[in-house]
Amino acid sequence: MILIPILALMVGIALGAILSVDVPITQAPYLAVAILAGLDSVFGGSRSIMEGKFQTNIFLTGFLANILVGMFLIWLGNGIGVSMLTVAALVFAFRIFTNLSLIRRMILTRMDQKRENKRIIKADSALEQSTNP
Amino acid sequence: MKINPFNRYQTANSWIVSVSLVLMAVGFMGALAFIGTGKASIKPGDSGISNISPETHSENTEETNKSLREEVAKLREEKSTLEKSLADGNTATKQINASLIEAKQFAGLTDLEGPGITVLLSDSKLGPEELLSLEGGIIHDADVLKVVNELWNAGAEAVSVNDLRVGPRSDFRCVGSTILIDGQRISAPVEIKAIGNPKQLNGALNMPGGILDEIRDVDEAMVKIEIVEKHFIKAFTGPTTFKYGKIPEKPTE
Repeated sequence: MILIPILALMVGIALGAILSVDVPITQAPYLAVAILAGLDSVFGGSRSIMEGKFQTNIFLTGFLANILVGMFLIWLGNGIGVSMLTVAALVFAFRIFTNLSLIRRMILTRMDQKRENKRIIKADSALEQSTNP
Repeated sequence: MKINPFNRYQTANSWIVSVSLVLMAVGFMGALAFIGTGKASIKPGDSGISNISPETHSENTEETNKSLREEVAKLREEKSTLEKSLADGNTATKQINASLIEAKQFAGLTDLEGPGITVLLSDSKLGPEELLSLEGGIIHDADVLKVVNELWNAGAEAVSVNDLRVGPRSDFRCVGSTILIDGQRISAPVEIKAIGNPKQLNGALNMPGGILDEIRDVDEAMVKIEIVEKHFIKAFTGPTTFKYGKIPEKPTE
C-alpha cells in the first residue's frame, strides 16, 4: 500500500530528470514554493490518514491552494520588495516538522499498544493454564 | 466503535491515488529544481565564463604560460638590441628610438632601477581566538589592489608584485586561497616593490585610516615596510597585443 506513493515519487523524479526543462533562475522561487507546498500537503495528508480523517477533496484542494497562494505571495513580495520565499519556506517547514512529530508520536503509541495487547493476551493464556491444570 | 469495512476500503483507495499524484508532482518539481536550475547556471553566458582566461583552469596550462612568458621576455630583449643598433644610424632614427624607449618605459616594458620602497604583506599568525574574524587575518586580492593603487597615487613610477610587473592592463583576482595577477598565481606573503620618492610613498601608505592602517588594525605583524635605495624591477611580460582597440587614423578634435 505504502509502496505505491513511493513508486509515484520515483516516477515523478524520473520524469523530471528525463524532461529536464531548464528553469530560469528568476522562476526558481516559484518552483521552490511549489515543492514545499507539495511536501507540506503530503505530510499533512499522512497525518490525517493516521487520524482516520483523510478526505481526498480537502487534500487535493489544499495542495493546489497552497501552491497558488504561495506563488501569489512570492509575486507580491517581488513587487513590494519583501522576500516572501523565506516567509513561505519558514511556514511550510514549520508545518512539516509539526506534522512529522505528530505522525511519529502516533506510530510510536500504536506500536506500544500492540505490544501491550500481546502482553495481555500472553498473560491471559498463562493465567488460564495455571488455573486449569 | 464499529468499523464499517466498506467505508474503510473506500478511504484506503482514495488516499493512495491522491497522495501518489501529489508525490509524483513533488518528485517532478524536485528533479526540475535540482537538474533544471543547475543546468541553467552552468550555461556559459556572453559575459560569464568566456571572459575568464583559460590559464586559470589547470596547472598544465599555467606552466606552458610561464615558459611562453619567458620567451616573450627574451624576444623583447632581442628587439631592443635591434632597436639600439638601428639607432646608431642617423639622428631621425635616434629620435624615433628615444621616443619608443620612453613609451616602453611608461608602459612597463623595460626593466627599471631606482629608489623606492618594499611592502611585505603576510597572513596573520595569530590564532582564531585572537582575531576578530578569520577573514581579516588573510591577505586578499583587494588588499594588494588597494596598496598598489595607493602607490600609484603617491607617484610610484613602477610597481611589481612578487616580481610580477604591474602593467597598464594588469588585473588582480582572487581564486580560492591564492591571488592571480594577470593569470599568474601568487600567495601570501606578498612582496610589493615600487620605484618612486621613498618618503612620499612611505607617507602615503602610512596615512592614518589608510589601507595599511586597516590591515594593522587586525594584526601589526601583517605589514612590513622597508625603504630601499636601489630597486631593480623587471619588465612586464604579459600580453601586449590589441584585438579590438584601434588607433583612429584621423586625430579627432
